[in-house]
Amino acid sequence: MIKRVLIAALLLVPLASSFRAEELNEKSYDRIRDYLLPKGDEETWKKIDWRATFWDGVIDAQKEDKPVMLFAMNGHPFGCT
Amino acid sequence: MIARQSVWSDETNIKLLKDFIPCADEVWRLQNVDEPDCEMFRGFCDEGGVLNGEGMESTVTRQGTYCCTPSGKFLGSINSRDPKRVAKMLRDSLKKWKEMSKEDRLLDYDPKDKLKEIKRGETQYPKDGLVLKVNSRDMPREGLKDSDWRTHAWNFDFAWFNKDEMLSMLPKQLKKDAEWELPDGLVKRLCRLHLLDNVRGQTNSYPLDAVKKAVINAKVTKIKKGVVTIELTGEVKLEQGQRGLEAKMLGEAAWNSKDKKFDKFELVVVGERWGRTQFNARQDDTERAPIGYCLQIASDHATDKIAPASFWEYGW
Repeated sequence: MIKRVLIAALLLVPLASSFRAEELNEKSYDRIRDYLLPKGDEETWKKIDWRATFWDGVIDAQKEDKPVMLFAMNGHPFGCT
Repeated sequence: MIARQSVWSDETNIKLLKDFIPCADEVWRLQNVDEPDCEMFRGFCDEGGVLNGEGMESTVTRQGTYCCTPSGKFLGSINSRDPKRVAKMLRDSLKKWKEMSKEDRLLDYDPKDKLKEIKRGETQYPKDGLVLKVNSRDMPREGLKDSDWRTHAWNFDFAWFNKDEMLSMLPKQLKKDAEWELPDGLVKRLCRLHLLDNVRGQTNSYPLDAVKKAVINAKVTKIKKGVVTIELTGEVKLEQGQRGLEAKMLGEAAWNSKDKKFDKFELVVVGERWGRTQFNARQDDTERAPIGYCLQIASDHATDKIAPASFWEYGW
């Protein structure tokens, strides 16, 4: 029984340590920051000439005589959605 | 979140949108508030059938992609992450638009005149304060497949500080080696409203009593040509029921004494989160796991001027 518990514990150690957050210090700072920031293709959607609200879209569409395309989400699509 | 990086990163759709005025908005407000933009939305949103649910219940979310005329006439709608299906809806809508008369397409008044009737968080954008973009992402760990969107999920929110709040972050005299703590109320607000597990989707803010620890220490490390370099270190612990966050912070700010603004404000937060909320897609991922945040000054672009997700809790 003890042997089984020990084997189970040993199997769990690598899993638990792999889930631990990497230590944040001056040495790891730049690498972690760059990992957290968006990479090139994650911001391709910004190539579109977005208006940040529906009504801003209506104002410009009226001025330019163009149709409005509205992307509406739970949570603003340009913020936390 | 996924649509940002699928539908709206698709080159065909980006090209098709040259014939439209593209805009984005938060759908709950459009569905529920009695202001001109919301009333126009409700006037057309169900014409193509109710997106996201059967029946006509007003509580069912209408999130999706819509095309309409400036006069508020419906052209098309869809809720899909498939770029090709959305492209078809855009083409069909454009065809309808071209068949309409100018009188039908346009309003008979200037929509700018209605701006004063629209009271939304964005009207309080603190242009003379500090606006931080809060990027969130899971830190690397074993067990997640590279092909799974959740492995690479990235989300963001904005943290706002008005001018008085920004100035309150600094002591009256800035000297080399000066040390202080950023104001307790602002740090608690930052932590409980912005250091959230929103990596995979929207989540709730923490109540004040969930803040077990929230501190950011500041120390002047250099003063050169009127720019004060400030080292930031801190800790946070949030706990509410079965969910929480425990993390450390490190960063640097540069205060421009002449322009009275931050040239730089960067804070990295790394730690562990646990638990879940109703919509944050953690139902199979509730154990402690590493998470990180990077806070940086937001750009001046329109897409970076969105109100914080929990702005109503700011009490401005």
